[in-house]
Amino acid sequence: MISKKCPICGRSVDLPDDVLPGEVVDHDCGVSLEVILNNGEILLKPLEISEDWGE
Amino acid sequence: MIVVKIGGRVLKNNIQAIAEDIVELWHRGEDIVLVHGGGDMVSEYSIRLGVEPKFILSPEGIRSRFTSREELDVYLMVMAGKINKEIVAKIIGLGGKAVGLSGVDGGILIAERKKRILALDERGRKRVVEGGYTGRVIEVNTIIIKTLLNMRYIVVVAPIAVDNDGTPLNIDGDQAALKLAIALGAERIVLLTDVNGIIIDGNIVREIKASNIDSILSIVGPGINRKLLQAKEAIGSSVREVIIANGLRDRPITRALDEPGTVVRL
Repeated sequence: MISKKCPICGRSVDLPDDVLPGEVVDHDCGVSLEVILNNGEILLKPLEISEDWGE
Repeated sequence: MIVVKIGGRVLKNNIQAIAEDIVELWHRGEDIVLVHGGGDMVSEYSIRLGVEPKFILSPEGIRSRFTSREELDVYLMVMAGKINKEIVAKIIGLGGKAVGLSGVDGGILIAERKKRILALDERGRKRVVEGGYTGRVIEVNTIIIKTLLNMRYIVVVAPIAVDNDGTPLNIDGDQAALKLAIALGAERIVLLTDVNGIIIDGNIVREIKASNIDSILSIVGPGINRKLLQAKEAIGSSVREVIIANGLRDRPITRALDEPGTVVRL
């Protein structure tokens, strides 16, 4: 497990070892977080997406 | 006025009966706008041209085509070309007057490109992926369609929109039909599919209140759930009824109006 801080509530977020950029995790505080890779470091940011279904 | 959406499988298997029915309704004075699908044929031609079709699944279980730049080219050729013109030709051959357009023509359908969408990856995890060349309709311009209807033409529309940057986009045919119905002030829309209606626990549900749609989305399955979500959005505008009916029978539109499979209403 990889442990990261939630950028909203500051509490810990557990990510699987094989997590990939673009993956989305739902945190206990109610926010959806997107996994991003920045210079090789895994970071989390609030998901910004307006629509989740396509054609 | 009747707005009809015909799914690709219905079109492939029952084009003759559909065209005959449309021409008969038109002779009786109905104004008809027909939106067609054809995803299977797009896939078939994509493979023939060496472009492997890709599909994605949303976290809600909605399966969607992922339209790459290469597949967009095929989509335009097949939807606005082969399928649209074959329908128009069939109607004209049966004595009707028809014009085939795509939503790009005259800016009938303006869409917003979905640059990022949420999908389930092959491990079943939620993941943000590039949206490809798909869009969501944000504006409908009806003047060309209204002019053609006033001239007594049957209007056949391919589900392609254009965005504000001038890029053509793959849009969902049901969405195109419902948005057109709303903009044209139609009261009823018929979605012809290859099933008898919405089936829950083995039985056809004859009527669904728009307010109950959210509670049944998870049990009706991908494809139908998307139709219901879009029907819910349309109900409450000019559209009073969204009829989901079997298009694989004789006089499918007339029969859908007389004995619908499932009707979604307020």
